[in-house]
Amino acid sequence: MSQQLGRGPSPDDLQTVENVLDDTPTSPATRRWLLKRAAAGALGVGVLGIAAGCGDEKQAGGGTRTTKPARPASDGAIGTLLDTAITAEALAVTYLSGVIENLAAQQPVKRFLPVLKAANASEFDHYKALQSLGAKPLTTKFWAPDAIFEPKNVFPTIEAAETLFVNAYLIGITTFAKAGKADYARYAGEILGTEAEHRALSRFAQGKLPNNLGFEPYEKTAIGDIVAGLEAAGIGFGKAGKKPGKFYEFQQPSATVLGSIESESPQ
Amino acid sequence: MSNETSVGLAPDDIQRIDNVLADGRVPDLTRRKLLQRAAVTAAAAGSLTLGSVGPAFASSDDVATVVNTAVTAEALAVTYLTGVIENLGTARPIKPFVPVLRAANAAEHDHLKALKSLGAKPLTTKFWAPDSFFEPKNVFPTIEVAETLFVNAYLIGISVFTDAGKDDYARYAGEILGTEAEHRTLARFAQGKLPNNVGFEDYSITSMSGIVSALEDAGVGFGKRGKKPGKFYAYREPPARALGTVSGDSPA
Repeated sequence: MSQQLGRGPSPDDLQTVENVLDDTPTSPATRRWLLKRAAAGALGVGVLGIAAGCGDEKQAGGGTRTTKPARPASDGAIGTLLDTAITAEALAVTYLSGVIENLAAQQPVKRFLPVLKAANASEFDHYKALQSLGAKPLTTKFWAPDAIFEPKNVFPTIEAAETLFVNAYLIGITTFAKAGKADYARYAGEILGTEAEHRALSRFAQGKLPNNLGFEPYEKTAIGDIVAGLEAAGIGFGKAGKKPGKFYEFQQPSATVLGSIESESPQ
Repeated sequence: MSNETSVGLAPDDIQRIDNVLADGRVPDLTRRKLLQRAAVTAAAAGSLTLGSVGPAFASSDDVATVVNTAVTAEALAVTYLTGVIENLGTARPIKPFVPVLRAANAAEHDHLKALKSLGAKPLTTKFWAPDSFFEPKNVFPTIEVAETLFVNAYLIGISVFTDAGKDDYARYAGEILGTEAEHRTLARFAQGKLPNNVGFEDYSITSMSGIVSALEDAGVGFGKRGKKPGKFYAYREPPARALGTVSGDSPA
């Protein structure tokens, strides 16, 4: 993951403040000032991490807050889904960036570096697209087990995560379709396909039959179960996970960990 | 493709009769006999000319149009992949990817069965394929183009099913779409290209008739001759040797 934190919270607190400010008619200038004060206050008590993009006009995704549309207010389920999805995308970018930065010279990671960089770019594009739809990360701080950074465990980890992400976007299609939001349902499909590609490639990297399915899995039918699935694997969302590990903070990835890909936004 | 037909045998006409009989609750045995008689009669009459399926494809997209076009595309995929596996399995660059192709073929066949179980009816089971599709060097480029269109088609499906209030159908489309995307990425890998080259799957075509047109532009003919030199091939149930073992063989 891109940035290891020495200790405790506060990015989440700042994220919460930012989310609240997003929902209130605060001017950008006031908002920046409030966020800077909040960040300064946190630093004053010895907290090392600051949520990505807080206090800046530019977001982690590169867009500006003033252009962000309101999130769909008609359905709480949609908001939960979007927020959970963007949190998962932030987790993916954080993990893939860490793998690329720290394990690039080691096999089997080395052989698939271009694929990993392209996957990271894809996940970051998803993050930005979801942000443009009004999604807000529930946390930008993740606990990751040390084991998932052992080179031999990278592709099994990606396979497990991508399987859950595909399932999550199938939940998304269902939720959006029930709400009559055809465009959102299709966006979920556009993302889902790329997550499935990552799943297949991670299997190939392990020497497994890559396309082992007739239909993508829809074993979990609630977005909370996706989160529970990731937690069962040892991930912690803003809190320590079940396995020995460390906290890592989502940050805008540097160009060195991103591949060049096409179709960077939904159509 | 699995079964080359040297002359036009009118499988479309038979298919249409089959579709009508399926809607008419005709007992299976009676249906088979009627179909056999129809086939014999058609052959005896030298019925070489097939009605165009164009008008059906050109209709506005509703649920029936989407599922009928989709099941037709799946039949095309199974026909082509079966032919590649059976005839080019020992040629490079096919050989190292035969397990992948067999698994892909099994997936497409599962999709066909699932769509049929939803009431989908193929608009034709006879396809014109350019000879160039069967040159070994062109197999993976052909699959890449086709799978890109299939992913696009199921994105259309998600939109249409959502508008029709069919959230379960929309999810089925998503479940299938993901596997088509996997095939697309593996076809790119087999060509030495960056396999995962997109951040979002392609949705440049917004109607099923557009998908059909794109396949026709590539040289495929649906129940009629295509634009490039080639042959007719008829869909048949694939033999076990052309199918790999996949899990998740029906929608959830």
